[in-house]
Amino acid sequence: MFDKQYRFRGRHALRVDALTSVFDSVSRAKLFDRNVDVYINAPLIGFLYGRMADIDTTKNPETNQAYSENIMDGTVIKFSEELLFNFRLIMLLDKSYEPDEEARINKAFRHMGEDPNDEARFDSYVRGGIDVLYEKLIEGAKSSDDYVNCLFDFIADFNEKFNEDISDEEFLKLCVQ
Amino acid sequence: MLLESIMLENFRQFRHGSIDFAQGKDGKNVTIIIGENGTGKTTFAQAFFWCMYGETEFSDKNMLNKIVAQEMTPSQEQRVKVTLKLWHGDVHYTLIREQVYHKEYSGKVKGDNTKFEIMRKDVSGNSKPMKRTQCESEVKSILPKELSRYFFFDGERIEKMSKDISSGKKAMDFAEAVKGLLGLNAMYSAIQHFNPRSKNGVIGSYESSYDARSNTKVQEYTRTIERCKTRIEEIDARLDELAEQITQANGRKQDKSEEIKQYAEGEELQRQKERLQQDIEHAKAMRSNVVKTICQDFNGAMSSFFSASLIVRALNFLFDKDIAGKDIPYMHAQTIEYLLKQKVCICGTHLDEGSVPYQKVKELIEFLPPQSISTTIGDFKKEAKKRVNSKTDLYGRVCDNLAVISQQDEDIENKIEDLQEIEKKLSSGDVRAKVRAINSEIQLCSQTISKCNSERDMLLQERGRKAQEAERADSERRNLTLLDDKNKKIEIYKAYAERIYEELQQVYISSEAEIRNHLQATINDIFKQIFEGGLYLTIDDKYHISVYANDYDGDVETSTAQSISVIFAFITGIIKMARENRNATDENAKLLSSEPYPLVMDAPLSAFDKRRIATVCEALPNTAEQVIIFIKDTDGSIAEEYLGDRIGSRHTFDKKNDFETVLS
Repeated sequence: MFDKQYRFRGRHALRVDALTSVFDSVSRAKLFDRNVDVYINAPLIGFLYGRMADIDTTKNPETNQAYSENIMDGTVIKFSEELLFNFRLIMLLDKSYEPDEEARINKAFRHMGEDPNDEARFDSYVRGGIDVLYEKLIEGAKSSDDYVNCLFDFIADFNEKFNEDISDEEFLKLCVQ
Repeated sequence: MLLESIMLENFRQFRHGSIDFAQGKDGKNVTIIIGENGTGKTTFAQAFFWCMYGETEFSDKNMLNKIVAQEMTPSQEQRVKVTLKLWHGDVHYTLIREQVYHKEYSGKVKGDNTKFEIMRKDVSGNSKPMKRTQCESEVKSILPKELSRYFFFDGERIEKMSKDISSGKKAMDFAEAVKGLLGLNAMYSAIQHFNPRSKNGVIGSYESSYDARSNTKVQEYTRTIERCKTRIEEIDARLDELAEQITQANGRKQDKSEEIKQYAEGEELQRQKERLQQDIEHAKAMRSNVVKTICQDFNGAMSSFFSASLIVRALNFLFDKDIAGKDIPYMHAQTIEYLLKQKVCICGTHLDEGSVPYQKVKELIEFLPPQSISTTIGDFKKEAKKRVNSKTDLYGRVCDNLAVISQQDEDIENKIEDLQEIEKKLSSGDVRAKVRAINSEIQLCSQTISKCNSERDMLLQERGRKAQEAERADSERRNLTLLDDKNKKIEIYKAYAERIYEELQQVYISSEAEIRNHLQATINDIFKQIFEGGLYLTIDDKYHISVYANDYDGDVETSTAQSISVIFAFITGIIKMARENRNATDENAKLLSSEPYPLVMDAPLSAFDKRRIATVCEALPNTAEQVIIFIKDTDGSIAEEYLGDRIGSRHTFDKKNDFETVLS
């Protein structure tokens, strides 16, 4: 797992491209620096917002092939620890996928990656997360100001929904237990 | 000349109708004609022209009413007729102009030549028609055509003339008007008749009548004089041109110098503008940097930001499971499997399948990964801790940076506003380029002036030489002509003619200046009545009019009402002076006597404010003996209010359709 090239397809490829494009020509600012940053974070967003998506095959009319965006295997391996960590988080917490707690622990640790459905589940969160990010950050944004405002709105919204009640102390306490 | 009535038949949109005019009986000398724009005020004014002079300013020379023309059959004929009754001196005139129209089978309507008749009734009551041949000249004696336009105004013209007069364009027209109306024309003609510069003038004709047969020298001198005079004439014409050019260049130079003064302030503004532009660029770059910072912060912190809540939930979940702490550190199930396969423990004990040591070692697998996960979870927690340590307050930082952006936006907006303000003052464009352009134009003007001046100086010198040469030749010729009886006579006659010419010119110049000053004073009086001080005007020797405000140095741009007041004051001023001259007892004044004339004008009362309406209405009937004014329907009550007791006759133009207006 997380040791080979990863490919976004169809509309998700287009959306990853949009999320990693320069939106302010003066500062050359981008929302996501690299494709891999989208890959690492999108599943968390997809999971938290409860969004999954099937593989899309929207074609590029010029080549008549589905749009695609790649992350080279070297890059995937380089960030495999982070990816693995996020995978484990989702496997541990995805009750709708696996209601049994022991079974979820097995999916996260003992038999991690053994069931190909687990990775498929993770990937569908990746795609769902890309859709959420696209809707929140790109859709309707025309100017550089719009992008910045959308980003702020999204961070504020996310913060309010998920992060507001977490204190650093509680966090660290849990880590040492 | 006082108008009594006018009767129109089929004249353009007036099919039948007549109007009688107030002639001053019981102090009522005002006739008002109420009609909206487009009802035919201009046409009505043109009816006077047509009747008196047989022509109009319409481009369509067909005077026949359009409806009548349309209803006509080819066998029929129709006539257009205008009958104008007026008094001139003690004589009553009836002027009738008639034109018969026929319709061709093609449908085209054509008019014959107009017929003009005058009935003349003198003091004794004798009435007789005048001979056809005398009619035109009789009209000329009543009111020469060239002067008529100063008495029959229509709205459009009054506005155009007021603009022309303000810009000084048509000043010569007024000069002519003054000459004509104030009786200077005769003297002016006499001067022209004697003019020594004209070969056909009295003096000129003497010049060419010397008998040269007696002495060839006389002929030679005459030729020299003629040559010199021709050259002097050329030089004079050129000098006039040069003077005009110099005046224009000077004016332009002055204007441009004034303009450049404004730009001195402009240059400072230009510097401010450039500084502001730099500041704005800088602020925009700074703003972009903040945008970049926001994105960098987001990228750096997103992992821990997005995973924080999940980590908390996962750790809480694992905490409940109590999995931690049972593992043998740094060992894996594969280590045990290796020992069992080797059948020897690391302590040397044999591990035979089924033996107690074998079972003990095999049980260890339960406490090793992957079966036991406490080590893996330990690693998982380490990663979680790493994320916690790298967690920053992303939301707080973005908030702060957005506040910075908002501050920067405000700053940029303020600067842009300042910039716009400056640009408005600069009326766009680079001031320095403009200053350069203006400077080069000033330079060009200076060059023109100095070129014209040096040419003028040269020409003046040449003129002096030519005049001297002519004078010398003249005196030589005089010496010679005195020897011949015939030439001697001519010499004497010429001397007389020259003396008369000088005398006339002197009288004319002083009279003209006097009249001009008087006119200026009269106009200012009227003008002052309308504007109650504050503004005054001057008339220079070329009849250019400048309007000044008392508390402001320089020409005032005249508003419409002001312009109309100027023209109004001018016309009424001339008429007033003409009347004064007629009544004067002074012999000199009588020389300039003139007839009284009616004032027919469009009075756009609503163009004035209330106070001015009162003064205009008061001034009108007092300046002219007969006033005929056209007003708009909406001005009717104003006119009644201010002119009520002077109105002797009221009429309205009622427009039925585009082709018919009814007089009542």
